[in-house]
Amino acid sequence: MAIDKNTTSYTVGFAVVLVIVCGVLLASLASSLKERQQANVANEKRQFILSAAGHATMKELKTLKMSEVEQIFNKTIGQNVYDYNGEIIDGVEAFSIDIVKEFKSTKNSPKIRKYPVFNYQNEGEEKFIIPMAGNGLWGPIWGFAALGADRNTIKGIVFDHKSETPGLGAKIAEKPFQSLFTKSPKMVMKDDQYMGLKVVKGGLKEPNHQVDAIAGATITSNGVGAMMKTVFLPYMKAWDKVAN
Amino acid sequence: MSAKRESLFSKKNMKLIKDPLNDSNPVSIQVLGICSALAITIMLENAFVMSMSVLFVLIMANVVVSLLRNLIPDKIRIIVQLVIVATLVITVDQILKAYVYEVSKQLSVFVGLIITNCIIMGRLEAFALANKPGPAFLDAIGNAFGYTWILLVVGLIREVFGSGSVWGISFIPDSWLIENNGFYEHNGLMLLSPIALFLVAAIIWVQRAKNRKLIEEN
Repeated sequence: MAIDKNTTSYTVGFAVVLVIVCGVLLASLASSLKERQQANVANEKRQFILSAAGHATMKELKTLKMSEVEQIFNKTIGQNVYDYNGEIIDGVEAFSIDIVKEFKSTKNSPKIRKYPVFNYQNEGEEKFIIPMAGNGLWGPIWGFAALGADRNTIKGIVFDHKSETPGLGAKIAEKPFQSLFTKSPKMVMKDDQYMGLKVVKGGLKEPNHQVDAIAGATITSNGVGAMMKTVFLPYMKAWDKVAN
Repeated sequence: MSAKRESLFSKKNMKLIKDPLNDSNPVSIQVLGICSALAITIMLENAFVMSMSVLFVLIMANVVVSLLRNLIPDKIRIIVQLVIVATLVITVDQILKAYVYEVSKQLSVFVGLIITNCIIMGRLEAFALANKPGPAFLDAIGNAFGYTWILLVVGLIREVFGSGSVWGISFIPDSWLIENNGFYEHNGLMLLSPIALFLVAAIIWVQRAKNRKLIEEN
């Protein structure tokens, strides 16, 4: 063979060419698929919000086409963004806020965080869907909680996670755990005081403000609890302002 | 090189496909690729998509490395293989995210981990670097299907007993479940990774009992 494969210059040259070829291939692939991937993520978010609002179950929503989900979403859901003090922030679309990123970037300063909310209105029924984000055992967890027209009782809830243990922490994304929040009334206010919701082990002392934890998934359960303890507070402030 | 070209489907080449299915199965005999076999076999669909991803990566990597085998400098051959495999894996990951989003969420990190699947590096190092693209292609198919059938068997057993469904379609009525005052409960152990180890071990046991060639002398 004419080329000597063992020279340093050949080795370096080969590496450079290989890396450039692979880099160009991947970059063009990633940019050509980006739109589709983002559409998938947005579609899933709409499904979560609609299912928390009780419009349809996640299973039913998954059978619909993306455009159908978007149509229902646009018809039934209104949006607002509040700041920590409950003032409306103008010019920001609630749907475009990635709640996991928003919570992460304002981890230690909830006061500068943006608080999106979705208003569900259909056939005279009104619900407020509040996005939540927190940490599980292995990675971020997030979800959407729907409060009823009284802005107090939980009407529906969905959770999702990035990498919790299947069969243990991952159960937060499944129906049996999520139905605990709606089987009996769960309220975030107690005697006009903000209470939040707690996830506890070993029996419920205040059944209206507590939910049973998942056995074997203490840290994920605690993550859900931590996420729900304070998340509703800024919205309560906003709604108080409207009421007064 | 012989003047007469050897047929792609000669007896010797067909052995490349058949052997990995049984006599030299990458999972049950060589015990490679166990990590993903444990992690993503909770449901049949996940196991299938994972297998198809590995099939794609293994075939492409084997053929590409085999085509480049006379060009790859020896000193950096492992890194070159890694770059090729990583490129293919990221391609698969991006395509799954765009077209089967649900499944890509389920497989999450494990698609990325195909890069470290020992079956792939093992075949590249042991076969593709020393053979022509044709046989390398067949070798990849054989090994990928050797991996696939183990994953599918484990996935089927785990889904049937762990979730009472096959390919996501539930065959146990909700009213049977204890939480709905019924008599049946899904086996939670089936959802945990260790059970896959037992199942793979059981497959190895059955296979060794049936296949005389695999029985060691002492």
